[in-house]
Amino acid sequence: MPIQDAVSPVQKVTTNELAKEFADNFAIVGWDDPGAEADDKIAVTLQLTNPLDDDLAVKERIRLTCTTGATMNLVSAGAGTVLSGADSDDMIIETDETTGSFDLEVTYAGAGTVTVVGGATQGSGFVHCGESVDLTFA
Amino acid sequence: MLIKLRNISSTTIDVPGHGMVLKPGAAMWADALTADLQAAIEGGFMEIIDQVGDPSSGELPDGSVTAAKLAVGLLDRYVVVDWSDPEAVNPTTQRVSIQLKNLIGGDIADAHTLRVTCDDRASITVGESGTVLSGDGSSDLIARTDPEGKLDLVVSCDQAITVSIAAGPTQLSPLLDCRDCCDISFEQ
Repeated sequence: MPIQDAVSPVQKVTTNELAKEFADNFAIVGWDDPGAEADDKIAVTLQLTNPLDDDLAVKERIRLTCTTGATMNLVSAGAGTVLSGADSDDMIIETDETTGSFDLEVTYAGAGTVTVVGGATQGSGFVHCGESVDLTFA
Repeated sequence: MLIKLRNISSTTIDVPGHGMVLKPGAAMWADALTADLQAAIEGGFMEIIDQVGDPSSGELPDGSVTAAKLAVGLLDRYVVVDWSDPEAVNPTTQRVSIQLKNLIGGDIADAHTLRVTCDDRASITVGESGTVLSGDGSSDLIARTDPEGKLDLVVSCDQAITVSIAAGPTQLSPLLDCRDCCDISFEQ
């Protein structure tokens, strides 16, 4: 058996085999557990990770939209920057370069579930936004 | 453990214990790092350039899958937007170009569609390279690079401001990394 045959099974690349420098080209949007509701507001942190599940400390531009009737903004003194659409249901944000996170605050006067989704926009890198977050307001 | 070795000497060497010769720059796989191979490495004749685990051990390879190891066909699926330095045409007009790159900085010679937006106090048209699909002369256009992956933009602004320009994905776009943006200063 030639050596090429012997090595072929391990040449099937899996995510865990990606070098960090390569994996860091790809950002995945994830959400921490939401905080408790207070004054019609719930805070939740968006955290970028790479495909290896390591936190990804980069500045990434993401469009956030949420259920109509709710509004979004940056938590006071929180990590990240709002580029446009503060206090609306359609916002473009930048994650904090040193943490890869954005501290989001959602305001909703009613009762029910508010869903927040992310997406690629102008100035985005390779970003995967397949995970949304549901916030339950009482 | 399989290891890949390369002859880094300037002469053809007789690989110890393997009954074969290796020309300068040529590489070979060995199933173990024997004492003879170790001596050849320490003698400066060979170097280890890769290694993989025994397939039957369940052990992972060395975890060094990098962009540089991707085949060109796969590498060019990840398109990075790269901006040239702006060039003044006159006080109210500047030229800047986008060149599509892959993850290791090589040019991607392909026509791809992207959206380009800027401060609404400025406007953008497409120059010699590339094709505008919509929004020509506005602050929000959709354009296609030329077959060499280049898009020339002409930016006009009659105010003394810095105009930020961002590219982004839109319908028909490939996987696009548009994190780099472009700032153009207009001084009237």
